[in-house]
Amino acid sequence: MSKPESSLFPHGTLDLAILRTLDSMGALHGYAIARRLEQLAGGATLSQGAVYPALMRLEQERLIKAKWGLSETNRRVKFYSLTAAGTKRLQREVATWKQSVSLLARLLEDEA
Amino acid sequence: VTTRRWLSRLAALARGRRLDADLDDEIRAHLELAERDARARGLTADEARRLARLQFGCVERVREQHRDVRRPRAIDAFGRDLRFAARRLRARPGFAGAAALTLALGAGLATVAFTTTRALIHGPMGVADPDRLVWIGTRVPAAEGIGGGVSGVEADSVASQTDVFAAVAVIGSRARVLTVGQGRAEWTGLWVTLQLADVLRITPAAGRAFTGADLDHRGAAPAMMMGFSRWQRDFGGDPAIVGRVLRFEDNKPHTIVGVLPRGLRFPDGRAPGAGSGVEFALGEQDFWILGQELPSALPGGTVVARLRDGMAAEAAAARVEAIAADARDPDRIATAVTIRSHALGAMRRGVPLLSAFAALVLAIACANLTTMMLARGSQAHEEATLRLALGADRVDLVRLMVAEALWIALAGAAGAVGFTAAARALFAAAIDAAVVERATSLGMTAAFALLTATLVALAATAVRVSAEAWRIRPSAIRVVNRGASADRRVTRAMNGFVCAQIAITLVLLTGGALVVRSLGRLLAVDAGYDRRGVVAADVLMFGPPAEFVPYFLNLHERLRALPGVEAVGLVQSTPLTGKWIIREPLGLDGRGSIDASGTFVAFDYFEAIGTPVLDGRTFTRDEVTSSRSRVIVINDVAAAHFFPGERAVGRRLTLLGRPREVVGVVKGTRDVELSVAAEAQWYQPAFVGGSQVIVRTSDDAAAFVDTIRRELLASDARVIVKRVEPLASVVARSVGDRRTAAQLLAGAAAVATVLALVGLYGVVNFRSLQRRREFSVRVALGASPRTLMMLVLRQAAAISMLGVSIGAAAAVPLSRSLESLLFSVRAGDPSTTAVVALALAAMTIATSAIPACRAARVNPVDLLR
Repeated sequence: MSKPESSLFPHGTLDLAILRTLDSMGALHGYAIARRLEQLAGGATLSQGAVYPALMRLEQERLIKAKWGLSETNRRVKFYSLTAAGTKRLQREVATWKQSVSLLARLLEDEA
Repeated sequence: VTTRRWLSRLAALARGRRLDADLDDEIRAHLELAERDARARGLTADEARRLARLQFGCVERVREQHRDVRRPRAIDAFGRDLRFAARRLRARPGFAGAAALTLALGAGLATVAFTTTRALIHGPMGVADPDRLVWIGTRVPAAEGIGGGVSGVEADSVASQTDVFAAVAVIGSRARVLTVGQGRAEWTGLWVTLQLADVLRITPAAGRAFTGADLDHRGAAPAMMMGFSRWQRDFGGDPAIVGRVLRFEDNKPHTIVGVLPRGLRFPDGRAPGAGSGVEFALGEQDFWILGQELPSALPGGTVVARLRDGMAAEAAAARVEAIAADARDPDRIATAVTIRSHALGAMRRGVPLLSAFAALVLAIACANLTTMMLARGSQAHEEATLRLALGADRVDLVRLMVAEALWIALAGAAGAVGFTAAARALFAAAIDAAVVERATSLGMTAAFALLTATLVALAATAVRVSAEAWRIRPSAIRVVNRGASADRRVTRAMNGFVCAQIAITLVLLTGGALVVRSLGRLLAVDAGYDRRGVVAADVLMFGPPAEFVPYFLNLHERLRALPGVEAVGLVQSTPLTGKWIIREPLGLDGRGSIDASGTFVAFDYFEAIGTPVLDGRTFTRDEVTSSRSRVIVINDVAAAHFFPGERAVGRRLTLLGRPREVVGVVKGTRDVELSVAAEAQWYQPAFVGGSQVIVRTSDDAAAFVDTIRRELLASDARVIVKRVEPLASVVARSVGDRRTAAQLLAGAAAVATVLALVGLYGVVNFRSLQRRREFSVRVALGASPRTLMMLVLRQAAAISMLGVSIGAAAAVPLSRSLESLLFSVRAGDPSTTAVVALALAAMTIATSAIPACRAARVNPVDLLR
């Protein structure tokens, strides 16, 4: 099973980024999530489609939930939002990431 | 992967198609939004569309990844296991084939037993709640089921038991002849009392059921209800038939008041009445006509009743026995038997036995499969050890074994369905195959076969798993490579399973042999007549009785003139057909009377059927043609009863209220059932319209059937020729139930034998393969091939002798359950057990000789190299 790839987000971080986005902005549809991630990345290119497999995965893990609604163009579209489990997971992941990043940063600084 | 996630994935698998569609919706919306944004930034429509797609990336790839996420991994993995297991089984066709065949035989027999039992017990009759229907009749000592012959008074008192019976009706058989254009057709049907429609709870397909008003037809044509098939076939299902008058021959017009419902098969299976003058057409009837209002006005009818809800058949039987106790004849007990169990006849006890046999065969198949699996496990030991060493999970190994078992079960179930179809075709004549067909769909057969096969395969796999999966150590890999023999416990288990198979097989073989021997003895019993070379023809002559005499005289001349015909006789009832035997007691002044049965005969009946005349003479032609003859012939049973140690000829006995002179004594004949000895019998000289023509030929009876039928048809335009067949066929039909039981049980025993021998072969072969290295060493050290062969044979013989001894010990008490099917052979008959045990022992030795010979041919150089 291949992981969805994205040049922008290293392995495993796309999920975290989506959770974070939903946490800060509430329910969003796929396009809005992809746009938001692009903005965060400061214009670097992202294959926007990559968010959909990630959203499916998160939904299966019950970290997010989807609800059908209408897009601005009056299309049937899913709006995703965090579940309680998702919020909890996000907090844990963020803490872990912060730890690893600071560890890595120190390591890299030492070497530099 | 958490369970929850796995479950959600499983659900997603089921929703896959819908999720694909959902994703497509989302992608479409996404692209539209992206385009709109791009247009807002001032791009042209084309540029916007292109940009949106570019930014989205490859749609197909997203779809694929989305699907990947959704697919549950465990299922995927099991799918892989199934594919891998299929490849492994294909690589070992011997094991796969033997295992599937074992399952096919075991599960197939179980399926036959299940579907047959189900059909016989639950076959449709087109009647609501048929299990609540009972026959009320007299118990015939030593015979299967019950006879008819409940007196009218008894029937009335049964009908008055409204707390036991919801409705009681009386039926009898009737025939009518209708000429349509050139053809004459005989309609067979029932005369019934008003209540029959209530007893069966039927609603007419057209018109109405009988009402009380139909009883008093005041000279108009009596009411008739027509059978559904007759209505469809002869009248195109025309509803206008209701109200029409049909003119049957013999000046019998009937007004059709209604049509019986479609699919009504009553009586289905046998109705009681052998010996009471009632022979029912079975299955669908052509018509019903109305008898009298009160059962007491209808002597000789057969009583059928519907039990009240909540009333058990046994309780009803007890009540009938209490009210109808007949002091005149203590042997004659009226009782109630459910229609179903009566229809089963000898099969009533044979069917549960078949189920028991099938269960035992299934047990053998299970044991057999288990030993095969154990052997397979030992062979796959090396591979399994390697896989474990390479990091496979033990659960992975188990999953693979389960996958193998499922394939084998699937193949076995397919084989079982084929086996069932073949068995049904084989027994089509004996088991009412149509009934089985109607009651059991292919789907149910397949489902039962699959369920049985899967359960057996999984049970065998469970043993394999416990023997193997938890004991394999990656560290054992070197030991395996050195070719060590199998785990001792596994070997012992395999020996035990084979031993058990042989023991069960011996029990089944003994049972089968006893039943087959009984059938042989029954067919060889001296019935009082000689069926070889005899043709029995059933004719029905319509017309005034005065015309019978010239007709039958003419017929006699014609048949007598045929080359090869030795004697021609007439009788009202051929033995074993249950037709028109008249039950009338014989009496002697001062010595009381005895229950007796009798019939009318003419011409050279005794010579034709081969019943020896022990004393005196048979009837003269004058006695037959005269309506005032007062002479009778009695059998040896009656003669011995009334005139012990004296000559009966010339004495007078009372029959039908008149004194009759005994002119001859003949040997007693087994008329009701071959297994029931003759009772007192009398014969009177007379011609009867519905007669059986008995023709003794000098040759094979079957060769004369067509000639005789032609001659009968040509004899008179008014005659209806029904069955023409060798008497041997009549006899064979009368033991049909026993024959079926014997065939089924013997078939089951044969299947068991094949399975047990295959199992034995497998184990002996496996063991000698395991010991190949040891044998090579022995040969290298100077052992002769003969020594090796004896080594293997001795081991095999030890197992089989133990199994045979256990089986022989168990067969004696277990064969008691067969008693109802036995005739002049004792249950636990030592000679049968001994012969069967010797035969089975010989077969096991012969079977193990094959791998033993192979072991003896071992070439040490091949192995030591």
